[in-house]
Amino acid sequence: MPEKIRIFLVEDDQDLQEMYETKFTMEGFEVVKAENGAAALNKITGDKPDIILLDIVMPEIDGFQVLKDIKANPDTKEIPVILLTNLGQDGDIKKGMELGAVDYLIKANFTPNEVVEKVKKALGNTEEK
Amino acid sequence: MMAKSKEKSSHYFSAAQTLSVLQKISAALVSDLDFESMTQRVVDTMVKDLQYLGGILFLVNKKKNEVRAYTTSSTKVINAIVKALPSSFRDHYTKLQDPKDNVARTVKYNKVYIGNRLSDFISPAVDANMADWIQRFARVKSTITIPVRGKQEIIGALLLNTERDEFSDEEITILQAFANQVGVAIENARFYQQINNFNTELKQKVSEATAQIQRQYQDLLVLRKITDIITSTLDLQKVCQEIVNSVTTRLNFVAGFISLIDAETYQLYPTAISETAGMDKVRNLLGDFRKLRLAVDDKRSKLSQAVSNMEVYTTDNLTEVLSPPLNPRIAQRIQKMNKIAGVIVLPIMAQGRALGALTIGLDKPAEEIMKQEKETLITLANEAGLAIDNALLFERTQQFNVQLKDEVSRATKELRDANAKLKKLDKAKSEFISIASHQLRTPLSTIKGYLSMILAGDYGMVTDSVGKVLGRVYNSNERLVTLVNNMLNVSRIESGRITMQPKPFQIENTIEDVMGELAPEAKARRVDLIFKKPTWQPKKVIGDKRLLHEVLVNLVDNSIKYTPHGTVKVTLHRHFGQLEVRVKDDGVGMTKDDQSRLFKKFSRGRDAYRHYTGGSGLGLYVVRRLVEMNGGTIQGSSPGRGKGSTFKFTIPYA
Repeated sequence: MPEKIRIFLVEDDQDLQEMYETKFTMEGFEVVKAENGAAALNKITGDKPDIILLDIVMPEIDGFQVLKDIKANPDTKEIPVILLTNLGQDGDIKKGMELGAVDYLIKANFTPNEVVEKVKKALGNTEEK
Repeated sequence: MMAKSKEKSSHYFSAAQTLSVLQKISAALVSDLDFESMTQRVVDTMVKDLQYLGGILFLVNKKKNEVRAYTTSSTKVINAIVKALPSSFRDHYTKLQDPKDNVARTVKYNKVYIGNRLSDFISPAVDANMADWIQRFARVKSTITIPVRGKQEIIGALLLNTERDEFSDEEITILQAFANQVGVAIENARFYQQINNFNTELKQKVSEATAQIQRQYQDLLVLRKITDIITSTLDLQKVCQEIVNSVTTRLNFVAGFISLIDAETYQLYPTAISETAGMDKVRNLLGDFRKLRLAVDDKRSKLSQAVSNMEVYTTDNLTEVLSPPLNPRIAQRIQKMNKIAGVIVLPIMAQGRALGALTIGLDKPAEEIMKQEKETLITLANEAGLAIDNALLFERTQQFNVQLKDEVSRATKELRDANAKLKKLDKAKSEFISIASHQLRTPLSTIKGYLSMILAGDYGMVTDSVGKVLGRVYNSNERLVTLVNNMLNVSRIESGRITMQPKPFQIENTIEDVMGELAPEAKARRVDLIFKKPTWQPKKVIGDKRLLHEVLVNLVDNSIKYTPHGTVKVTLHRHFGQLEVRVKDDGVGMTKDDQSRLFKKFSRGRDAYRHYTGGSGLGLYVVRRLVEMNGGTIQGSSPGRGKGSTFKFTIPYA
């Protein structure tokens, strides 16, 4: 039995969190959740995920800061990060990509299925590396 | 009564004697001696060498028409005569008009007179009895008067006394010759004297004129120096102070002050007082003299009159100039303190109007001011006028400059404030849009996500009827998503926040990408999606690949949506120097109405039902703006309802 791919979901909206968890679990992923930046940084050092879905607008520590910390930590900087957010100004996208995200998805524009496709594509790229 | 001369002379001069006398007289006549000494020597020579008892030279005063004794020999008889006269012999004269003695007759009638009676010759000047007595005392036997002739007239007479009885003809002739020589010499001497006098006068006049010119030159130098100083500064106070200082230190007047007109109140006020010891006391006495005010039309003061009438005024009483506004007693004190004997007030003018006055205190009464001093002062006042006018102009210009600077400052601040407000507003707007879109999108994503999962059966089976209805709900939600995205894009384009990065690229690659992306959807809707490559090799175009990708996605996706079963074909064409991309479908087509509203902001027509497959979602308005920003044009047309539509847009070549 191939090991499940661990996906780390950082999302503060309860409904959306449950929605993506359901979808990814259905698709055979192991889902680890965190509701805010601090929790995310704590949990990430435990069992390292294979990929991270990161929201930006969160209380206290925002997604950009979490992304920076992930990339600054040698233990975690290789993990691919997809920004999954409803913030979509040009500046935000640019900032996110510059901080090292592999993709930037606006939640309102993609169904959960499409998000799964994007995750798989990102993992595929990582494997090819 | 003329005594006739005897034929036989009783006295004769030897040739040697005659020559000797002639020589001596000549010598005397051409000598350097002054007139008096010369005539004295002549008379003495004649009397002594020719052995007469006495001789008197009489000279005519033509203006007074009289003849006077000028030179006398100092012999016994003459001394006696002189003593007998009531006053100096030169005081006595005889009138020629009505000759009373032989001297006068000699001169008037140009005749030789010989006589035995001395009184015929010297009375009435000398008392007749006295004359007789002198004659007896000196043993005068005969007296002769000979006219002394000048070039054109008788200029005098020569009187000689002898103890001899008579004068011989020869003697008379010789004496006449002598007399003529003397006459000529006297005339020459007088002429020479006149010339000398004239020369002396001339020299004096020249010397005076030279002195005056020198003084004027000195004054000019001083004025020049003053002008240099007062025109070297534009500071009004400095100019005024320099002028009054020059008045005392360079022109050597006792004191001076300048008053200027205050334009607003039309009053005179002192601006500067000369800095001498005396004036320092005045300064202490008056305190802040600048506060003193005198109305220009106040007729009581010569100072204000000088200004209002624009004339020079003088006085010896300082009170007439300083009071009002000063108390007359204070004015008197000031006059005494500085020993001012006279005052002159000169108006300071420029461009025909009065600016104020220069008042100067003198050490002498005003009427003793020399013409030259006055002229110098007037020139100084004129220079002062120019310099003060300039300084006032400069002051005004500076004030104007300051005002201008203030206004510019204010305007700049206002502009900066307005700018800052605008920036704030812009920032606020963009923040609002960011927050609004984020807040709107969050619930939209929840609805979209769950609905899609329900419809996919992730939450269990869904009946057809429920599915159908949920499908509509889903579509409705998609419209909201589109709306939010549209609003965002319009805002981005309007505020210029979309940045284009044009680069050369091959359009066929982009088209193929889009074909790939939309293939699943086309397949799901049973639409044939075809990209028909041209037979010719299209050149590279220039533009922002990412944005043009979005444009293509939008157009092709639209065509797919509006073609229930059919074909969507993409082709390339050459169009007026640009590359044209055509997206043609045989779908529902557009009415004329639809076509007219095509690329407008927020139109409801064609892109009311958009489904996003990546990217931010664009309305046709934004599509048009992007094509145009890229340097191309876009068109949409349709033969009519049910007859399909064709959209074409152009891209410039690289």
